[in-house]
Amino acid sequence: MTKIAIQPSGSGTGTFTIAAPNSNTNRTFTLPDAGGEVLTDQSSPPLTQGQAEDPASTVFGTVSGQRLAQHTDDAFNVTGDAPKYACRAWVNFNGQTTPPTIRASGNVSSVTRTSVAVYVVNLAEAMPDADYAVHLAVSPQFGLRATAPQIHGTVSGAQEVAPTTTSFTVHAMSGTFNDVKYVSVAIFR
Amino acid sequence: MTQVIIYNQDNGTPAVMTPSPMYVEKYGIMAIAIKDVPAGKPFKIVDAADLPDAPQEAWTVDDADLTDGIGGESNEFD
Repeated sequence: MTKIAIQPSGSGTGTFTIAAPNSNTNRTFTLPDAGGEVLTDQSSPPLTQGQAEDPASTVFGTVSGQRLAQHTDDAFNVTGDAPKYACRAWVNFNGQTTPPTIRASGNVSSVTRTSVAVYVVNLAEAMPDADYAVHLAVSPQFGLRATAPQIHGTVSGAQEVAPTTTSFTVHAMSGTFNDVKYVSVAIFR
Repeated sequence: MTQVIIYNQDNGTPAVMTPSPMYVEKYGIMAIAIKDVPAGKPFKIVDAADLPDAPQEAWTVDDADLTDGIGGESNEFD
C-alpha cells in the first residue's frame, strides 16, 4: 500500500486548508504518478495544440520554445534557416517642415533639425552599443534627385558625427542643400 | 497645440527638436527635453505655431531666453 504524507513547511506561518465544496456526491482525486507542482487556476497551464495554433486564441498559457519560434516565423512571414534580426527603432518624418514632422515612429523619442537636411534621431530606449546598422532613405525634391543620404555626418565639410547608444545623425538631402519631404530611417542590431 | 524644443548648438545656431507624440504622452515633453537636449544646454519649449517664418538658419536665439530647463547628463528616461 502506498502512503500519503502532508508535509508542512518548517519556515512559513500561513495555514493551508483543503476545503470541500457544498456537494452530496463523493469524489476522488487521483494524483498523477509524477513529481512537480500542482497547477491551479492562477497558474499558466500548457496550451493545447489547437490553442497554440489558433492565431485568434486569447487563452494564455505555457507554450514550448519550438512552438513560440514557429509563431514568430509565421508572424514575420519568414521561411528558411537564416536568422532574424529585428528593427530596433524607426522613424518616418517630413524634413521640409519647421519643425520636422514625425509621421510615425518606433523607439524614437525625438528628431532634431540642426541645420539644412541634418537631423539628430534620439532613441527612447538605448541600444546595447553604437555598432547598429542604419538604413536611411530620402525622397527627391524640387525636381532634383535625392543626394546620396549619409549617416553619422553633417553637411558642411562632411564632418563625421560618431553615433552613440542613444542618438545618431543623418544627412537627408536632395539636390544641393534642400530638405526633403520623406525621410525614412531604421536601425538594426 | 504642437510644442517643440529649441536650444542653441555649440556653433551658436539654434536647433529645433520635434518630440515623438508617443513619448510626449508617456513621459511628457519636459522629460524628453531633459533627455535629448545636449547636456548643459538650456532649452525653451514653444508652440510650433510661434516659430518664426524665416528659415531656421536665419534665427538667432539668446541663451537668456532659453529658460525652461537644461539638458541632462543622462540620455535615458529616468
